[in-house]
Amino acid sequence: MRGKILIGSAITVLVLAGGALAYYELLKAGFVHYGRYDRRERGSLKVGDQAPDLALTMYDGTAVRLSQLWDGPRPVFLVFGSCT
Amino acid sequence: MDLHRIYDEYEGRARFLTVYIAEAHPDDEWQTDSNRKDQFVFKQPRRFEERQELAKVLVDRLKYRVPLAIDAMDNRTDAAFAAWPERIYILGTGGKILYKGKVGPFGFKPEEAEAALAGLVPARPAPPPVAASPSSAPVP
Repeated sequence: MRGKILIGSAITVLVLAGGALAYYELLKAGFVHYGRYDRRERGSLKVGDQAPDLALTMYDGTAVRLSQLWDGPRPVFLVFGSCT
Repeated sequence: MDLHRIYDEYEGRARFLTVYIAEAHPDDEWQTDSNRKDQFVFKQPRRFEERQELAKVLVDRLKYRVPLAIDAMDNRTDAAFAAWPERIYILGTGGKILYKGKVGPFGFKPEEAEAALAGLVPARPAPPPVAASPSSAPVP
């Protein structure tokens, strides 16, 4: 009887821990969102796809298109972010 | 900062652009303790000039010096690249996506992107051998 309770408890703990780990991994990967201000998306772009060519304003106010960056032989290292 | 180190290492062999997008943790949305502690307490910009002001904070306070562009207020670049809150891509000639980093904050891994970049650019030329000169010769 005692052994059964122990085994039952161990299985419950393992299942809960597995669930928590899976949830955390999904959260990290952006599949599960924190709430209404969480705008993370996986996006449809994949390696091998053509990147969209968009117009942007440089910090100094000049206009730039992404295609101006990739017109040469050098790869483009593109970082997105904000200060918060 | 990792990004500065990568920029310094590969600038010349790769092109660099940062796109300043919508705030990840503005005070009027989803504020974090670390932002409060660091006094990065800003509202989500509604006008382009406000976003420019925050980009200026990045440059002035964090001394950010990688080339920087600012996304339009319709967040079109952010949306097209599923970039929010932060993400790294590497594009090849003609705009082909060669690397797509995972979404931040957990998936934002500059060192992983750096490893991908290292495989795409020529090795940095070895520094010229130090020529023996009278001034560098050991003093007898």
